[in-house]
Amino acid sequence: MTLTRSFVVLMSVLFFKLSFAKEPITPIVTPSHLNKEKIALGRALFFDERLSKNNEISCASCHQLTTNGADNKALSDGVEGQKTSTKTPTVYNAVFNIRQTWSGARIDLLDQVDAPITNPKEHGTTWATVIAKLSADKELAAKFKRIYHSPISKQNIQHAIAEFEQSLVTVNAPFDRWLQGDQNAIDSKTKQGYQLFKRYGCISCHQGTNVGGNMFSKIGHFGDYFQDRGGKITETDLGRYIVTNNHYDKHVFKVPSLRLSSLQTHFFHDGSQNDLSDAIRVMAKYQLGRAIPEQDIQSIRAFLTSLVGQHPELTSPYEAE
Amino acid sequence: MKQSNFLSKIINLAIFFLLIWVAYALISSTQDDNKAHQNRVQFLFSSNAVDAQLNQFALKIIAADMPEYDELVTLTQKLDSLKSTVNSQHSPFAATTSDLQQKISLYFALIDDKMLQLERIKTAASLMRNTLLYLPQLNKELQLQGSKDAVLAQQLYSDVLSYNFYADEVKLAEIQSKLEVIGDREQSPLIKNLKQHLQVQLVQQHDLKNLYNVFVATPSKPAFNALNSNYNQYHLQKLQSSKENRQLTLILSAALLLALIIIYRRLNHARFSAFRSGKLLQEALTSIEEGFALFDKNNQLVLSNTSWFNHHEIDPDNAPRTLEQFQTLQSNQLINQIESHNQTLHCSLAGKWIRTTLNQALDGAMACVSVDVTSFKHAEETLKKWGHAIEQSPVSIVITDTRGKIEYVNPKFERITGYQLEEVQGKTPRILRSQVTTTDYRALWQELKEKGQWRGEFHNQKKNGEHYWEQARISAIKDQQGEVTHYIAVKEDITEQKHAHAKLKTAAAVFNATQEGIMTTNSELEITAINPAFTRITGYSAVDVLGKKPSILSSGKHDKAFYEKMWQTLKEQDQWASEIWNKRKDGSLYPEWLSISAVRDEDGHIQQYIAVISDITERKTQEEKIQYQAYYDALTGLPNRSLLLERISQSLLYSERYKQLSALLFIDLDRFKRINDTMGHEAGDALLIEVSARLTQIVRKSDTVSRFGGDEFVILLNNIASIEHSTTVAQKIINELSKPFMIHGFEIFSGASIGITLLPEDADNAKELLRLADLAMYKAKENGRNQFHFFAKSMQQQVNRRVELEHKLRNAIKNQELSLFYQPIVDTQSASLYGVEALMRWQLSDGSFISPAEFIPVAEESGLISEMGEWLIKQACSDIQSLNLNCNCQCMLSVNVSSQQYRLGFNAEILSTILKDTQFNANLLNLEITESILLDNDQAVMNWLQDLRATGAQLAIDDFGTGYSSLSYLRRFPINTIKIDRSFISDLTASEDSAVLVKAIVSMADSLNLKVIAEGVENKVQLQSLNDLGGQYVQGYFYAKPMPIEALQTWIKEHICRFCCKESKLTESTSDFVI
Repeated sequence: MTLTRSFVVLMSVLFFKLSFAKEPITPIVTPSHLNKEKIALGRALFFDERLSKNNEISCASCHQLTTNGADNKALSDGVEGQKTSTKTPTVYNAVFNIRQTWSGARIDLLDQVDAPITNPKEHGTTWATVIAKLSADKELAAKFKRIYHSPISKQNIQHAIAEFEQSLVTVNAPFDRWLQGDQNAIDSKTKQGYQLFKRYGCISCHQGTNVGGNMFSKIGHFGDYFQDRGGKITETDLGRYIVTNNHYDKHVFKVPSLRLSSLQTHFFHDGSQNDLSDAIRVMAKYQLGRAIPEQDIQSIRAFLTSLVGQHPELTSPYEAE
Repeated sequence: MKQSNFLSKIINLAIFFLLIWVAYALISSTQDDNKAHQNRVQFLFSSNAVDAQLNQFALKIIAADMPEYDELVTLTQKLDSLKSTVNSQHSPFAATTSDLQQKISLYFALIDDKMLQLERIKTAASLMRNTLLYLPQLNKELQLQGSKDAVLAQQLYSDVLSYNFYADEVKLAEIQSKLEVIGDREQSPLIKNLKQHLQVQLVQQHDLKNLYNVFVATPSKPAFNALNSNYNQYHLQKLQSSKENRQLTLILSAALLLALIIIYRRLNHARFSAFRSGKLLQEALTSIEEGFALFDKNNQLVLSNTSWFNHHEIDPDNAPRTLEQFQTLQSNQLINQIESHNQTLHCSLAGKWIRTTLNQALDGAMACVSVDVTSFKHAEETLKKWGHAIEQSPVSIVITDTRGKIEYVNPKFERITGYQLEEVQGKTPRILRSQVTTTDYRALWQELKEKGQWRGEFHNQKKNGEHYWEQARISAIKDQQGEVTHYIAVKEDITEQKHAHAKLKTAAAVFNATQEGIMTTNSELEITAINPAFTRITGYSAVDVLGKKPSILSSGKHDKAFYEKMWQTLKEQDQWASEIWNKRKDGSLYPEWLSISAVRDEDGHIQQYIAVISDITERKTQEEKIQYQAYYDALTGLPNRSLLLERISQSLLYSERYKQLSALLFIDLDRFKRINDTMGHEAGDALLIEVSARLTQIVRKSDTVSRFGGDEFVILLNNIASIEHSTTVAQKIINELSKPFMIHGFEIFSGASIGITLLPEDADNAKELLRLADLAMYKAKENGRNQFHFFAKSMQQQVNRRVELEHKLRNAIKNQELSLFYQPIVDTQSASLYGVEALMRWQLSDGSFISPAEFIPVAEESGLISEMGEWLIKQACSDIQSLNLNCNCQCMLSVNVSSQQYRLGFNAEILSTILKDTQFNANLLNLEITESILLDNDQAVMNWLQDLRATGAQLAIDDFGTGYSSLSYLRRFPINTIKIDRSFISDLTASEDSAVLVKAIVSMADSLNLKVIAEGVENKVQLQSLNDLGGQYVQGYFYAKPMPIEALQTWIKEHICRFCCKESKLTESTSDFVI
């Protein structure tokens, strides 16, 4: 009786899902509300090394726009030869994330800009220094004056960069086109990959427009990820706990977007994996508590590849086609 | 007034703005409250909505009804936004109570908490869902494996599901035991995996339930309710307080408004009273005739009346606003007079006179009062005019009171009488009365009183005692009641009139008594009056001429131009006077001196003419006598210097016009002074008379012999043929005056020196000519007495040259430089040589010739001609004698005999000697004489010629036709041949007259049995013509030029046959000479 009911409930749920549902992934839409001048200004600042101590690095130093919105390193290079604490996440499509940074410490893009600037391992500078340096550039100051009707400030630097970052979305991914009805946008293997992606339960966390990024999850539901990884458990390994101080949130990280995962060289917050198939396997093991056959992994890879959309700054593997 | 007005305006404005402010405050405060409230409510609703959505999502997640969480992203962002709003300065609750803000913070903390719970729920739900999805597959795999625990696994799965729905401790314990059983029995990986998943499932279920419970238990709802109610309460309070505030504001505003209105009313009242009084003032001002304008201390016009506008002709709409504008306007008036520092008088273009006074009031305002004084001004003008009239009156005016006491006299009176007004004021006009007055003053007063006026004459006395006549008119001046107040006497000085009247009488007497004839005419030239003298002179009585024109007197002696000129002069100068010939009534003509004056009226029109005539017949005769005396020398009767000057002037004119030559001979008697001194003036006078007689005889009638003064005489030789004429005359004079004079029985020798000028050559005016002649005369005196001297250098040089030539000629004769040339004369009928003419030639040592025309006259004058002429005849006879001998022919020889030779004594005796000496056949000799000899002296010449003729020689007249060619002397004198002058021959072909003349000469000569020789034949045509006319003998260049005897011999040999003369014919070679 209970089983039947539960089944019924379950079935009804599934049925409901199947019959009415929309796909758990939605296509990326080009944002339309952005200010072009501010985007341009933001982009200039994004590439501006004056935003760092000793003018060593810029945002673009780690968030390389041509590659995948991040560098091809496990951990990135900060000022004075330092390494970052976490793997640099892609800046592409970051706008869709529920929170920014692995731990979700930053509410949104605007808030996030502040993070690397003052981080001693990353830009290692202060806002006062940055503002003073930029204000010395009369041309830039004039530009700010024109666009923001105010002198250069932390607020408008953040805003300009955030505005630029909001424009960094990858559209027209083959999978998106398929979602929009183009049956030939992806091949059967990809389609099968998608089905497997859903069936294995990856979809439970990696869903939504950004195929992730909109929730948090503990790494290592099954098995002890960190023990298996080895090495010291760092502060950053604590994940969201640092933000909430709630025991529930230990090792809880923001589920990353898989949109450009096929372009990535390193994975997870610690950059511990450098192969996508391995990453899938790690995920299957620790998050799903099961193993995924190699064939299915390849299919899932194919699916993941189809999620890569286009952006003028990005050297897309599809552009060659 | 102004200030209160300004104040009331401010109060008006204040009231207005206060009202607006009150309205705005009321509305805006409500609006502000409303808007803030709305925002807060909105915010609360949004927050509540987020909470509700959280709840909804939580349920959905639990129910596995969320395939993706993007909506949650949106919700999170919404919450973030709300949170940032509430934490920012612009929070809608920023102005609210801290309690409320605390409640909001609490509420958001709860929602935040719920959001975190939801995140965990999400994670847990995902994990649980994945496990649930995997468990059936695991069971299936176990079944496929044939595991003995497959059933147990199945049971566990259903237990877990059931526990999911109905969680209880019993069930959990049951599941836990079962799990242990499975785990103990078999350690296959599948079982192990199953066990793990089931455990995870259970944990997750537990967690999820717990999480959800916590989520649901989160008291966000009560917190919201509390917040909401709290807010509502706050809002109500706020409403209440704002309502109170508004009421307070309203009350305050009303109070303020009331206060303002009261002030305004009071002010208005004050203003009204001021206005009323102002209006009264205005009305008062309007009603007065004086113009009034008030300018405040800022010179702004504050008050004015209509009269003011009228006075200054100001358009009220365009009135000046300030004193300056007004003054500018004023200054544009026609007349502006400043009468005093604050009073001005203006006359507008319309002729309005306005007197304007500007007074400064105490507070610095200026009051301008204007008065129209036009009528006064006009009255003043009229009075002035009258006064002026009286002042300027040409008659004297006296105003007296009724008792005759003088109150006023005008300047004319003062001028006439010499009394000043001050002197006569208060006195009666009696002071003027002369002792001899005839005026009846008693009757005057009588008449004046009865009729109010009197008219009559006074004989008065001036201050200086001078008497004068006055015509007076005295009138009474009456006032409006008809009472006499004054008398006015208007008096005119008629002394002049009285005198004029007397003068007229005299004039009439003169008119009648004068010896001059007087005739007056009107402008129409009709005679209006004549006097007795006129009648006496002209013979016309008044009856004869009155009404007639003066032309009845016209003599007809004056031409039209004369009268035209007369009228012209009269017209221009109003008078004319001249000598004029008129005719008397009896028809006799008489000269009169006529003086005409034109009398014009005031307008300049001619009213009448007055002609005064005097008979000047007598005077005329005297004048002529005087004139004669003026022009003639009393002693000699010769023209005097004056007449001479006139004649010279006249001659100069003629000379110019007719290219005449005249000469002036200035003669000074030698030794006259000595005669005068030694023999007395009478002898001198007698000498002068004798000299003048001799001079008059010498010259032609047309010449003028004048006595120039003292012993000087001047002769004007008019129109002389050549300069030689003057020298001839001069020489004659010298000769004549050198002859002795018989004065009072004594033989007196005088003599003369003569200076000659030629006119017009030497000078162009009489005086200059005389001066130069005088000069020349002195020159002559210098050269020795009994000389004449030309003023002109050229003339003098000519004279000098003659002297020189004469000297040379003497030498030439001595040195035998003179030679003879012969020109053949051809007989054209026989074509043979008729003869030759011997011509004298003077060749100088340099080979050049001096023309006979030059040296013959010198020879004649000097008397050398005598010697030369004899030599010529002798030589020629000798030459031709030998020629005739040589050629055995009878060639005629022509030689010229000058009249001087005759005078110098050449005669038949001398000729006979020569003929004898040369053995020349006298019949072959032809003596050529000029016509002038024949004219000189009849009988002596005749004798002389006959004597010559008697020698056997023939006589020929040379240059026939140039002088007084008279046929009579051809008959009278023993002439054989005539030689036609070369001028006729050269004219022969051109002039018909010459041909006729030549033909006449030829035929005449034929009839007188005279031979005719034509001279100067130069060509064949002339020869032909001559032949046609019957000319037989020809001399000229056509045949041969004059040549020496040797050449002649050769010529004869060449052209004429060896045997020349009549027998000899011209050779063949010269046949072309023969026609």
